[in-house]
Amino acid sequence: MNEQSAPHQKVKKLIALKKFETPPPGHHDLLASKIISRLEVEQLRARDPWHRRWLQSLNFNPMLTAAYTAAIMALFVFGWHYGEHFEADGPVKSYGSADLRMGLMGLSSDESNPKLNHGLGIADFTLEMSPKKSYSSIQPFVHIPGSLVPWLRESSAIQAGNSLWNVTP
Amino acid sequence: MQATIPKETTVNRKQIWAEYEDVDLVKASQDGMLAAFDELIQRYQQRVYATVYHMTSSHEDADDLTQESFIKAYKALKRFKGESSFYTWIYRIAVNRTINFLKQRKRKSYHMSLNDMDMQVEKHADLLMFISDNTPRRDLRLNELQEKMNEAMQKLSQTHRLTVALHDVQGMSHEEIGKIMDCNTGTVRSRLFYARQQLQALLSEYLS
Repeated sequence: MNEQSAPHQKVKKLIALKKFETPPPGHHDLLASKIISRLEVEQLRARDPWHRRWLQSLNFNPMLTAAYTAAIMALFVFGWHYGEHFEADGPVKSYGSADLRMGLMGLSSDESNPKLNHGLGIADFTLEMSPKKSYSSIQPFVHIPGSLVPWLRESSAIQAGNSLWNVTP
Repeated sequence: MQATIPKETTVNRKQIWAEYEDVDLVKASQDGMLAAFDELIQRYQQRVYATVYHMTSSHEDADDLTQESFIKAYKALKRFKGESSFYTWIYRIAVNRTINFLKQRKRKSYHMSLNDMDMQVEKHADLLMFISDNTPRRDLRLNELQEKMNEAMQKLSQTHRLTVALHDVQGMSHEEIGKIMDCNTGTVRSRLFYARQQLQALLSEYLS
């Protein structure tokens, strides 16, 4: 591997001519300025508060902007959809499975619970509990057909421990 | 020279920074003084640019890659412990970045830069020897020779091309190249030998 051999010397001389392949005069001054300017811009940007940097990143990255927009739209649509169902069906409606429904039709004796039996001779009511809700929101619902009280004629919620057991049909 | 860092408000700060050694400039740059880093850029940009250019054969790509290399170096400067010289370190950054770039470019179309050579070359004795005396086509134009050389360089592997660019074009020693490429001088010599052999075959038209 004699690198000083004659043919290699010629190649070496030929390749050495590549050093004359230089950019136009003044290019390197401009290059240095470009590098420093970019660094200065980055330093200034780093001093901005996070929300401004985030907004600036959206300007420079259309894909990121699209992703954020899609995420916000998805949240909005989900919220709207969920809200509509919730309002239409009321809090009784549970989504999907297993409402625990306990029908107590015409309880008149002491068979199940003496407490339930109190003052509810002809009351026809349903207790519903939605297992999807937290315990604090499990509420009994009463339905008394023919009641003079409008909210008892329809399915209505009564807070647990409230006047349920004092209802006189 | 012991680093007594001048204030940024100095009127002719470029001249002042020019008197400092690399180690001091690196320390000042680590403290966030862009003027000191500007001096480092001034010192090494031409050599870094030339290396990247001879690797890519494109002035546009060399321009972008040189900028990116210096910006990356500035960001990573806090981690620079001074185990090697700044010169070797910035070269390594530029070389690695260029190699990554070339790997990606493989899949894209390659376009050759056809910028004119420095006009001084026309008076160069070696060039006259190649294009006037030893070539069958005496009217060979300068940019044709440049194109042929670039084509030949692009046919070399990246490590061979880099070795040739650093040694034969930029005149670096085997030791310096070994540090930049993280290999011993024997490997550098061997790569040079094989690269020249390939170039000789590719440019035989001008060498006969």
